[in-house]
Amino acid sequence: MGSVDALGRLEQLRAGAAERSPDVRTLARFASTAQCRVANLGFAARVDFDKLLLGTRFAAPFGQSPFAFRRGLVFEERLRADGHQSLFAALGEALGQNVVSPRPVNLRERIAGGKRGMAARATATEEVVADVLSGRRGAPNLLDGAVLTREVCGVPAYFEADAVLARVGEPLHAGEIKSFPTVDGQADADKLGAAVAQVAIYVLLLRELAARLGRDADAISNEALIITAKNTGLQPAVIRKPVAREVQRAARLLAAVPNAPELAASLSSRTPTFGSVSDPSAPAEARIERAETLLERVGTHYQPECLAACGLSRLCRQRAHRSGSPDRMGASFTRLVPGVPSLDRLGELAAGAPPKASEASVAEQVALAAHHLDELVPVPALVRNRRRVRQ
Amino acid sequence: MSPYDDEVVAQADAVVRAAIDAVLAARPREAVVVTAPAGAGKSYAIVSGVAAARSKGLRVAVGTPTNEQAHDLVRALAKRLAPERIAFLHAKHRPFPDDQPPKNARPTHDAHEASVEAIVVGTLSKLADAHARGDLARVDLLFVDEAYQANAVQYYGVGDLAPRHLLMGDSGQLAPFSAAPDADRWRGLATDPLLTAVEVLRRHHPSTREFKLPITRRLDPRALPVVQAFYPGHPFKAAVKHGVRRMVLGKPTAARGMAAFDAVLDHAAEHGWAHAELPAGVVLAADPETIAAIVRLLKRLVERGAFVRSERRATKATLLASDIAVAVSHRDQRSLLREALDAVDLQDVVVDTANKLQGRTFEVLVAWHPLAGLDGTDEFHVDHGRLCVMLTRHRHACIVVGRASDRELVQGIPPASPSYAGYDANPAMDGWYVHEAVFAALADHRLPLPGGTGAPRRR
Amino acid sequence: MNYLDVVLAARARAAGRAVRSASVRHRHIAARPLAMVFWQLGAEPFTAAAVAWGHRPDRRSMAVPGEPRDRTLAFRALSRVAEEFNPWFEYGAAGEGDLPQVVLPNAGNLAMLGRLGRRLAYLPTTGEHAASDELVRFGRHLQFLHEHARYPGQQLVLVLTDLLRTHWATELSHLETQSLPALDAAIEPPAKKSGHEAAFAAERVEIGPAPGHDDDTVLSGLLDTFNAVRAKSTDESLVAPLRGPIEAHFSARIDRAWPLVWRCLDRERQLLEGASVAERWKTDEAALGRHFSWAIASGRPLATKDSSRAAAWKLHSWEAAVAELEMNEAVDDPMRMIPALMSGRAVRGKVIAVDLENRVQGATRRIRRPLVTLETDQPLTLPSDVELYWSGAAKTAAYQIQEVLPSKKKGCTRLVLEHQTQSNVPRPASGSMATFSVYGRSPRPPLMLPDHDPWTHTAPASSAKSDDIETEGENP
Repeated sequence: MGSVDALGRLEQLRAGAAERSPDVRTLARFASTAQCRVANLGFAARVDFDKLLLGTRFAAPFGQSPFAFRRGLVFEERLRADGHQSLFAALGEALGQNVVSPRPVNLRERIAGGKRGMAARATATEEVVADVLSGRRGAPNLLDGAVLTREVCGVPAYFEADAVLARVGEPLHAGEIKSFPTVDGQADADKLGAAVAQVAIYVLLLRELAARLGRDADAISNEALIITAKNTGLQPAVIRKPVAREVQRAARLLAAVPNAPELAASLSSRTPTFGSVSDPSAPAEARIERAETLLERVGTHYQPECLAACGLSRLCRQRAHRSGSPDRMGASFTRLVPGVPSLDRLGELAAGAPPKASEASVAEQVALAAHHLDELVPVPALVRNRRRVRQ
Repeated sequence: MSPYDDEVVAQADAVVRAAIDAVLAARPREAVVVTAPAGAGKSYAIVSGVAAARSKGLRVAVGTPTNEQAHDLVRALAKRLAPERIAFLHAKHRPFPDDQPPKNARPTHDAHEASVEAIVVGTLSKLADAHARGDLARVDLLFVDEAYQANAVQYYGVGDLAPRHLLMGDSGQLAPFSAAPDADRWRGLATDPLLTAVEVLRRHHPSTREFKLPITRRLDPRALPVVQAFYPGHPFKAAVKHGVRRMVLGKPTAARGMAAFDAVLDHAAEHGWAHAELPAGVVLAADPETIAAIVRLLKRLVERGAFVRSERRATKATLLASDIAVAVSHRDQRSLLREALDAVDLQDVVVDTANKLQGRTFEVLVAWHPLAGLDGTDEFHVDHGRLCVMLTRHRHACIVVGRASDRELVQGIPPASPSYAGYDANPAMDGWYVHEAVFAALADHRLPLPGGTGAPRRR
Repeated sequence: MNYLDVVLAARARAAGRAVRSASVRHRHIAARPLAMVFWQLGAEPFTAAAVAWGHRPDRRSMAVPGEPRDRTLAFRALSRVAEEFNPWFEYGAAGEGDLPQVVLPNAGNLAMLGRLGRRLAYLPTTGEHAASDELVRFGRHLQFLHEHARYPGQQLVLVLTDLLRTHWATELSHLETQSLPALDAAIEPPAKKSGHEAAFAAERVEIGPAPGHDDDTVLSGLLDTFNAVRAKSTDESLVAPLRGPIEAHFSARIDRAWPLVWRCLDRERQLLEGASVAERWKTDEAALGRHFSWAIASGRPLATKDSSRAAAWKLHSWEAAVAELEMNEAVDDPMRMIPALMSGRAVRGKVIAVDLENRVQGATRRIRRPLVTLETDQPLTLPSDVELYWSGAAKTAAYQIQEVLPSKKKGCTRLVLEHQTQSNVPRPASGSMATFSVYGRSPRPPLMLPDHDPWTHTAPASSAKSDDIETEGENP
């Protein structure tokens, strides 16, 4: 993928809007909004959606608390202290192997940050992995701050986060440090699910790397190691998870990233750019109007889950509300009303309006429910007259 | 010439013998698990196990998750082990359903009375209750049938009923579930009450020996390419040879608008499968059009008439309405379909939800696809246990009915799913992949049915 | 979700504000409950950066440790809460002739209750890092409440977002109803604003316990100053004055939640209480009694994990409770009966005849089996062998369908129902409208379990090691 023209066109579309390079988090978001064409386009054009509507009433309320960040740092620092002593101990215990001579490598210490640092760390990661896979005695057995790279939508993407790569016995394990707690053997299922999906991407990329190095893909374990905080403290608790099916999913996810040339070609030249939406010099109402045109022209797929994932979701919700779309209510609602375009229409059908053929089954049900409601339910019984409590 | 694949049958018999030998030689507090694909002849194997235990003079209990399963086992045991007496311990208001129970069967709700006999059969709940009250004496050996359907609570109650257990079950069945909110809160822990009985043993006794039956006696060889998707890592073959079972439909009389329905029936009769698709679209769960299509299919099948020939008898037999079942996912689908079938004099066709059809066999089965006409997937509909039950009840043919858009639901990227420490399965994602594989395996059997299109998918 | 919810949502949209989805109140509201509001520090799950509590809308107490990651400061603040909470919870409420009821704004606060409980309940009360008995007991109470809150239909803990969702239908998706300000705004929007607009504005109001990015950025600066000046000191005379700005920070945020909590509670109080609510209040009382005899009398903490046996009990009792709650609500509230009417689990119609003297042949003699004839215009999808209960007296014996007859009235069916009792119990009067449903009696038999784990559910050797309860010593 990635013809220069198409990439140029996407660059034009971003038009100075805040940029966000693909990484595990944007990939996860892309997966949850994969049915939305605008989200696809924004992903391909590397637009930071969270910043797009800043300064308007539809701005996304995302952003991490500084304390959340600090908890993660403190946890990682403890794991790294004294040559990663407590991390080795925890991994050893989880895998039933005692690590006699810990040989950690911390790429974060060796190489500076930033985009160039990432590229350098990716190269260093390849070297270390090659060394480890060669079976050389004395090769490192823990790689902290590994960076794996792969082209996504025509540009190199770097996958780093806090990946660790551990060799405690055979084969090689990919892992991820998360500061959320595992309390009495149980962790938050959604957080753990996200962590597992993340490690699955590392496993996949490591296998691709192993293949490039002429090694067997099975040298990389199909098991993820998620290092979490144990109970109410900050001692490590390692969770082992088989991830074969998640690795398969990761492969599909990377294969499904938007085809940049195709997307670029499908857009009319009058499509407003992301830059014109984020333009801080324009009045908020004008920006919102441009955003609406963009959403209209490109096409969206709003569902309530978007509210937790996408910086445009509040505007999309507003549009869904305006049209009365049942999508506003979520899947458990829309499942009951196929063929009916809006809540307003549902109200009409409930009141006995003649249904179109495509509405007949739903109309029968809502009319019956309304009939029962009107017949059975008196005005709610109040204990006493409502007094105003709002001061 | 034998209608059976003798090699597979011999292999399966050897596995059963080995499992029985293993449990008879087991030390106290040891169990043996026998995992079977659908229709492997589990009951027969249990009866063999009971016979072997009795020949050594051991006292035996046999437990099942449901009453119906217990009744079947009582009949099978009474028949094969006559004149030995079989006690059937039942709840006071749930007596043995037959007016004339087998002569050597002893139905009773009095556990003391049952304890006198050397063989006691009952539901796991009833055995557990009687044992907890101290009314049911311990035995030497416990057999549990449909152990993948039994949850950890049911198994808890019978754990100490015997020092040695043999658990038999079909791993493709619907997993135990609960209507309680928050029922997944123990997921991943060894004490999860929704573990299957088999998982309880794997968690607490990881060295438990496990045997895999390499056979299905119910299904025809033509069923296997589709059905194998439900049993990864568990190869098996059909007991009956290719071509032994045949279903011959009567000639269609000319009738308007029936060509597509005849094509579906003819294809199913010849290939053992048909995947009949109504036009693409999103519809209600209890879609009236799907109901109408199923009714027309079945009415046409009965009108045309069919003969079935199988390994059981040399002559062909007429297919009866009671040999046919429809499997659905929801209760409202069941009640509306029941009403519609009754209205065209098809009262004898069985209609039920997949969980109620577990363990049952029919000549022809119509499966209302769990994903039919849906707008998106969720953990309930994508549960491959439900699909497995639907697609493994038939001896001759299975007709899957859905919509042309259903396949799209399991294309592309599986949805992100929660993950639980200590719990390696991932029902939502596993189910997604299995559904995809089953659709692919049915590709050659796909046929259109006429009808209106539902609503477009919202995207 | 069902079609009743669909119609109500459509009506809420038409009305521009929420509509009632219950005609009676399905939860008890105590005369003098305790409201609690927590704030945590960023993603520090086991810290309470601020706690507010109180029995009145116009008065609240607040405990702020300053630096909640400092064990000494954190426990000092929590001890203040414990010292007031424990006496009220253990005997204060009872002294007023009621049970202690805790009101929380949202599910996040309930989770917080559980996490703080988990942290405090197992603290050592002897040794170098000894915590006070009071604090540990507080932890056990929180843990109990958090656990009990999962019991379907319980009423010791009221999570307002859940309570409001039970009683109101809105245009909001499930996700959006997690925000109490948004839900409240949709129910009672200010004048000239639609519920949607009001909810849109209100959802940005953070009421905790997890702080928003902006709030914590402000706090971060205050906390840095606090920590720099106190230089690790925990001396109360030194830190108390330094805490001022941090207290002011949280005070302003708690003031967003406090009046809201009471307004929402008071609004629900107006609704007449459902008939079976008092019965479930007794179930709560029994659970509370068991907790007291365990946590106080025996002095032992709860196990950190359920045993197989405990998990089995819980699952069984929850399944029973969820079925009973559905039954209670349907019998108490005609609105809750509608889904049953629409799914073949209930039938409603006019009673056109009652024959009290009908007799059938019993085992030895003829016995009385009164007949009730119902005329209904509903399509009938009831299974023929179903047992039905009259919702006017659902605790009496079942009715069975004896006959289904065509009616002279167009589109109607007549149903002859036979009452399976000869006793003189209440029955619907001829000429009245009546609902018969599957809801009646208590459905489930008790679960009998052996006293000890069977061999199947225990590891052969004692290879299972007990999870160590961490002791807290370090300060950041």
